[in-house]
Amino acid sequence: MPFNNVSFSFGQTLTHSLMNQLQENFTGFATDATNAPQFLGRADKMVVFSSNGHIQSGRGVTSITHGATGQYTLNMSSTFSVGTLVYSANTFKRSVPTVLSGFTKNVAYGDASVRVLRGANAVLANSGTYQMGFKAGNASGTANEDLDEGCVVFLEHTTV
Amino acid sequence: MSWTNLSFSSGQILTNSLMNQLMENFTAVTSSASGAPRIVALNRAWARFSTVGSLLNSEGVSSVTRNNTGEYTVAWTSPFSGYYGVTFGDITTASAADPSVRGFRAFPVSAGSVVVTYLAFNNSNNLKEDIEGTVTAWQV
Repeated sequence: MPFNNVSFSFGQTLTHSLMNQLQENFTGFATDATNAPQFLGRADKMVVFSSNGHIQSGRGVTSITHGATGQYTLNMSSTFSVGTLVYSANTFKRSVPTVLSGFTKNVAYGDASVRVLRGANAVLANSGTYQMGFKAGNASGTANEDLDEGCVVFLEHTTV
Repeated sequence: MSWTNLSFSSGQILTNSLMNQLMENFTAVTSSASGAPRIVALNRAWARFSTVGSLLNSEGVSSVTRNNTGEYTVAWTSPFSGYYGVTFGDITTASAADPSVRGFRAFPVSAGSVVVTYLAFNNSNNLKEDIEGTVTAWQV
């Protein structure tokens, strides 16, 4: 359902077509149709994925490449549009405003390891990928692991 | 506020009732009323809870139960249909000099709840800890 950019002028007859376009805009707005007003706080991109990188549900993430154990590269449907460019290690990198992450791991309560799903690299300028890593650690050591289910949420202000 | 699936036909009179229903649909959409278009990619539920599992603030969460040291069950008000994911955060009282690494982990989610556990480790020890935490649920 597209978002209809309806504009009313003085003296204009309110036709049923215009009124239906107005009603349809609820769906256009809710589903983030093209040209709909931006909904503050909506995840610009997000994905829920399994241990092998299979996307269970997603928006703005077309695929996930599962590299070595615990390494996931999220391939976006579009490049990150906004962020502060910083020059580091002879290349420009882009800082994505906010990335939230979480995961599930099917381990017993007694399992001692702290685990984290974190960004694994700064995002390259105009990049359409985002690298993530999953790691476990306890008093005996650390190791990369595959997660059971990952959740990554990108909050990106898309207007400069 | 309920959602009204309005449809206008040629020649129909625009009554104040219809226009008010149209206006009320804004609230119906934002409050996820039954039948309203679903807003995509939003946080669906969240809770901030104390170390003993008391709800400090929340939306879409019916209860938090402390099961064991550092382990909490967060129950959603409405069970999820389809895949959803959780993210989490914490507020530790440990000093800046504390060497431990801390974090939540979540047990595989069910439609109605998720179990999270808070752990800490350093070079010499592993612990579960009670924590003031935040758990949020997201769905496309």
